[in-house]
Amino acid sequence: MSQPDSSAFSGFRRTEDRRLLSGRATYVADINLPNQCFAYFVRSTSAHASLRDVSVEKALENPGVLAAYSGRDLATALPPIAENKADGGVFEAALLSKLGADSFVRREDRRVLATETVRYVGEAVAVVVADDPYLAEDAAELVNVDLSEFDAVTSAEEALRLDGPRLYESWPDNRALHLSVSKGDVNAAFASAAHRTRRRLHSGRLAASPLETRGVVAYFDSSTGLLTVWSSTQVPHMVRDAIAEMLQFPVENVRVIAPDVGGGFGVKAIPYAEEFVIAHLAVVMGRPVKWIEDRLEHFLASTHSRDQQHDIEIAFDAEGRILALRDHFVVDNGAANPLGVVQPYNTIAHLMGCYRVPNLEVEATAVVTNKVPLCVYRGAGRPEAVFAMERILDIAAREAGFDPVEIRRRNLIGREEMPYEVGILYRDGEEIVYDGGDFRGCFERAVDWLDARTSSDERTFDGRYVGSGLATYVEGTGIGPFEGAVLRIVDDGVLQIATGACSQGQSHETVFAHLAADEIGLERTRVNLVGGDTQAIPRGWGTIASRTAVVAGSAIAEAAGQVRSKILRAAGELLEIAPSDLEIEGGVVRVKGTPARTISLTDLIREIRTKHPELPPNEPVFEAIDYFEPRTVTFAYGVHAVRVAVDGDTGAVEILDYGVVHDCGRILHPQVVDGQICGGVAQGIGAALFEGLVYDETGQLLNPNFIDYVLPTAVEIPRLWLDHIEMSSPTNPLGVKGVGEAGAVAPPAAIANAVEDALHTFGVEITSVPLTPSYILRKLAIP
Amino acid sequence: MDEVHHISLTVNGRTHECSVGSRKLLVDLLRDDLQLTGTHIGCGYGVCGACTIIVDGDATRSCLMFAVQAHGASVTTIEGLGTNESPHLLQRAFSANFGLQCGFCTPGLLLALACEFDELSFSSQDAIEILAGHLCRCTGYTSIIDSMESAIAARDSEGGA
Repeated sequence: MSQPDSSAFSGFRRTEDRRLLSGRATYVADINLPNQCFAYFVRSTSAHASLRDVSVEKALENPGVLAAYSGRDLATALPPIAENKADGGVFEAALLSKLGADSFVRREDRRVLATETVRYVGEAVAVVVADDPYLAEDAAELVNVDLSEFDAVTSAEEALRLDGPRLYESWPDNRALHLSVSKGDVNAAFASAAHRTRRRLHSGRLAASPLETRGVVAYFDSSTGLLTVWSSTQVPHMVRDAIAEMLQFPVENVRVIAPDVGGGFGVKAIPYAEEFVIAHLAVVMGRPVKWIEDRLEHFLASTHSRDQQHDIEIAFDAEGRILALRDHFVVDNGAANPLGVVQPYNTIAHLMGCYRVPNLEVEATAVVTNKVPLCVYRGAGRPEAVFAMERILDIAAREAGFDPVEIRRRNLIGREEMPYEVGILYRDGEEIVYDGGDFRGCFERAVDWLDARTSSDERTFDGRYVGSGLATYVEGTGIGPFEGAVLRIVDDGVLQIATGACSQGQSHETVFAHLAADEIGLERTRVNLVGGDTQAIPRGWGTIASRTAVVAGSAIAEAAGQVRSKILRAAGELLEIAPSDLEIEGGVVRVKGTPARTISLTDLIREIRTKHPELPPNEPVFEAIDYFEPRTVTFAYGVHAVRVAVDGDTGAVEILDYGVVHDCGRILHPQVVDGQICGGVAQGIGAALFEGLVYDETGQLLNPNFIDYVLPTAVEIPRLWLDHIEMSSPTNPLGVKGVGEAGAVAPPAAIANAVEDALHTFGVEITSVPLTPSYILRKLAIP
Repeated sequence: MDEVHHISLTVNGRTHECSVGSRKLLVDLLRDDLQLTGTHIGCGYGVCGACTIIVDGDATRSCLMFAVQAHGASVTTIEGLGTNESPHLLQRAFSANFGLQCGFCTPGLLLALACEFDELSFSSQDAIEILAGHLCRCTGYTSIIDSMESAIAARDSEGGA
């Protein structure tokens, strides 16, 4: 705990804080333009139906209504969305070309507003625009949607039935994806194994639930032809490119700005239909158009994640060494697959984790169902992989008579084996090679911490059953293809930075400002960072996949190095001294060893201007542009250890202790890293104990609100013990590894292991999350 | 159309005369008519706490109150908490302890705590009840608890000095 300065206020710790703490931030809902109007989307209340007719006539007669369109009205202007826009399709094509012929991704281009068929409750079918948001919502109720219902497909099992309903008539079945990955001889390894264990394990469907929903404001300036779109997105450049393509605008005439964004966590990582519709409406109506999603819409119209069922089987030799792993898993993808291989392949790539697994066979199948489409959520396939692997390890160890700690010790990859070739490809199509790390050391630190909290005879606490659990993870971070930075020092000596990777709370304005200022030798307060404005930097990828510190950070550091060299060269000429004899500190260039000979950056710029009239007018602007393109990912890893108490009467699980030992490489900012881990673990605890989206058999989402979809509060989240290992990554100039998702990856597995440890004497086996009180009580009722 | 009401209310010490429809929510009056956009809407039904403001001395969810109900009331929003030169102890403490990331839940949380700040004590049931009424998806809450405790400590050392 840091004491605030209570005598004389000395400033905020983060650059962002002044506006965020005083109510002066600008989230998309805070943007108000003169003459703006408000859009409201009419959404399907049926999970699967043919649209006989969508009539907007009555809505148009309502007071204040300016326009109303059905899907068919917009069908000519807005072409179908090609879903592989999101990830650029870059890695997917590379990966699929290297996998076997039985691996495929099947996609259907979808209309921005449904025209013929609706495939999930919440799919947009019409849009109404009015002078006032209340009036837009009133009129939306008057849009007449005439449906003819089909049978809904509401489980993966149903989707796979050959005689069941299909979502897309042109498809032979409901499979949207199949991936097949193997190494070694799995059948032979299983045949020779001393122990084999097989289970069906399930990670439930979740909503990332950032506290700010999505929203879009669009403004078209007909005099310049420039379309400006503010969107609560993690990927402004992807949104810009997709809008330009959809609206057939030149890319340079579309500017997308992600303003202050109130959390993302993956749900804002793809371009959405609403962005195209609102942009289109602003153009055709000649007025700014605003749409702010409400919370119910967010549950029904923004992507969900997880929802994987694994049939996983592990084989050990007599000493407890892993011989083989076989995992056939099915993803209930909802009505579309915007990100293709991303989530399921991440699961495959991270399944073996920290362990030596000589033989592997994975078959992943994603099926379409009449539910909200899946996209990524913090961890993006990794929490599911870790849940499957770490659960089957504990279950198998118990069956074979091994201690869960000991079985891990025998299989963890050693430091001396690094770099370690895993033997399968990563999602970017490159071979997975763990580039360093001390998995065993990390594990032992977690075990020691847990042991110190556990006495061997203590099986109950406060009348409840006590158990402890561990889970390890490896995480590929800092994926490409690139991220860039534009750095420029202007006349007043302030460094301006623009990067394509925007912030949704990750403190970029602070961390990257410090990074660049330190690299160049400027005061940390003399830096402005703009993230998320496509006008400020021509190309960008976005803040997703634990990549920004690695890729944007490296681009900023490299560009800062170039700026520094330019300053030193200019100062060297002016002072008639070799640049290597100069240094920069606090915005002042100094001659090394001669502290009196100095020139400030602003003086340097002015001097050159006045004394060198031969230079062009834009000199000296110290400027550099750098795009960092990682060859492949770099691997972070960690171990979570947890002790729980389970109430046998109520089924409630309390977390008594929670510890994290992790390695994210060089730490750029300690409190920001701690914040990422703590926030991630809290979301992981939510996934482990409370959160789960529930659909009924007709495809209605039963809990699309914060009352029935239970997010953890301060009461449920314990104070964590954090232990950092800082082994530099060899793959980037900063030595960093990503940390954004890490915290969320292991909690479901670690907590499930602990709960089973607490209850296994009653014959309880944990096979799915969330572990709600009713789930626990149901399990305890089994004799 | 809804009936229009003429109301008068004081927001952050300034009196406003407004014409509002019967169904207009107080949060919309603040955000749209008075341009006080620091009050945020996270759920719209009183669960998340992001829209919390102070109405006549009570922490109040502005998404659950009609604007007409605020006729004659005195309201404090985040824009009225502390000043640029002299932020509230809670604002300083939240920054010092990294008690915020994206900042969306922060104004509501600050006002709920500020409302009871003079009586608030460490780990009291009141403090826990206030915190439990606010969702934060970024921080994992620990840094928020640290922020609250450090603000209380600063308050007590100021009072004692």
